Amino acid sequence: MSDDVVFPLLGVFLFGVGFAAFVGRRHLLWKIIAVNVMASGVSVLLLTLPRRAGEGVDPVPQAMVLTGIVVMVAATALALALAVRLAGLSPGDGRHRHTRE
Amino acid sequence: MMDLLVLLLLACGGFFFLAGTVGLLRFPDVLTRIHTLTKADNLGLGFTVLALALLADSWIVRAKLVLIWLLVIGATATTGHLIARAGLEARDGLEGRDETGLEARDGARLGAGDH
Amino acid sequence: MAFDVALCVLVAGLALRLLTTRDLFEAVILFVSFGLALALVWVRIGAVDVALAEVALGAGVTGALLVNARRRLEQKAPEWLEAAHYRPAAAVLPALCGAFAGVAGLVALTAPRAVQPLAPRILERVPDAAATNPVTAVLLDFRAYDTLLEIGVLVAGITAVWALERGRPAVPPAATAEDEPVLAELVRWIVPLTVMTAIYLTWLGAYEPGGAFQAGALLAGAGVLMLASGFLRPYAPHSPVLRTVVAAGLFVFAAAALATVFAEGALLRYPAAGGYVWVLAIEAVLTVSIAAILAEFFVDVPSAPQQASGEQR
Repeated sequence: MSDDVVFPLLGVFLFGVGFAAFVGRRHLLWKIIAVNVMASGVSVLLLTLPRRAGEGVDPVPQAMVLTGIVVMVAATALALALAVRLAGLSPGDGRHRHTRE
Repeated sequence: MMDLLVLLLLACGGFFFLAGTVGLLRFPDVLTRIHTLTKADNLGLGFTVLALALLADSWIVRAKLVLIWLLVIGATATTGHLIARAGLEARDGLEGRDETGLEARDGARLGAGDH
Repeated sequence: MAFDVALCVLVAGLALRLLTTRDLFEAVILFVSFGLALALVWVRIGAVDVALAEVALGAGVTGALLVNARRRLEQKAPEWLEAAHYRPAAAVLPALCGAFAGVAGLVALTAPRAVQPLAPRILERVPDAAATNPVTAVLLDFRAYDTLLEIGVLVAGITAVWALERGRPAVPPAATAEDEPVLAELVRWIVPLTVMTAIYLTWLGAYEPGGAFQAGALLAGAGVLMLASGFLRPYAPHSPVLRTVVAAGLFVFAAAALATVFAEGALLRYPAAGGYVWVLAIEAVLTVSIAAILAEFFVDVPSAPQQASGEQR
């Protein structure tokens, strides 16, 4: 297994488990965390796939991933605010559908 | 010669990090765990920084390394204090329950009345 | 090589554990560890700019937001923190996702690698760009409109959070200088150091890994520390000072874009002579705005009124 393969495999794995948790877990906070893990997986793929062993990283995907991290933080902050707001609003019924797994 | 020294220092650093982690996992209660983490990790980082400072090629890099070490010492000391305080208050709120593990120890030694 | 494999196993293991654990507190702490380990991956492949952003934003800011969201759920809806159990039927989904990831991995690994890599062409043009750090050159010169829209996303995000939080009661700080003297002492000497480091990082971004987003995140960290320890009272969302600082980055960047359209005839094509000054000025304003927006995300998911309440696991 060469250096070129290890990191892309990690990216695929992160996207896979993130996706599984995003679909499979019912708790909203875990869904938000899962999307973050999926985004990390995509970043790993973006940066490592076009790279050949021994070379540096392409600056264009680096800039894209940087932008992606910042956008993810903004999206996460908004999603968390929505989740907390929902927790305050929803009476027992809606809450239990979302909390129990 | 230099490489051997660096290797030795890095091994020392790694040993203390390992010891701190083992302590975190094995020690019985909040206070002893904080003790191992803050003490052992500061030493571990100290040795690592020393090794890296020997490898560094300029004084500005060494100064940055020492600054990192000082910042981490300040931060771990403070977080250690805050966690101990939180553990103590949780103990006060849960009289008689064994949630934090603090009950197992001598109450006077913990200084329950100092805040 | 062996180190890379060990690192990947660590990152993968952390991700698996944080997504499957039943304890939200554990998941949040592991998410921060995951971000730090991932930053090591970025360093290993030579993407130092991304590593800095991952540590400051991915692990730091997101971690702080998650901790705060958890505390707020603790107050508003403690049922949300009850141990979340798996349902056996849910095991089918991971299997399906695993199969999907396997196919995706196969496609990714067998696809032709970068037929025409962009890197050489970018690196060849960097000497003419407004910054010598290739990543900053892409972010603020070659593809500056991406970054313009990016700061737009941040402003839109904080506007939405403000709209959600309208009418929320004032939040007392998590602690005050009087009852946490040790924390207060740390804040007194760590905040000036952080501000200095943020200025250094902004300036450094033109030459070496660093830049407005990493520096802004650092500055936001200092702000969060001051808010949590009671040194800084949060501004009301309708405060004109706060709104000006939040909008300044987008406004200055957009004004610069317009100015370049009129002066040079193309969006964000800097004048040949003073490109460096333009980039540095935009980055400086961006840093302050980004810091204000990120710290404001934190304020709007406020901490509990009782300070240092024990986190029960």
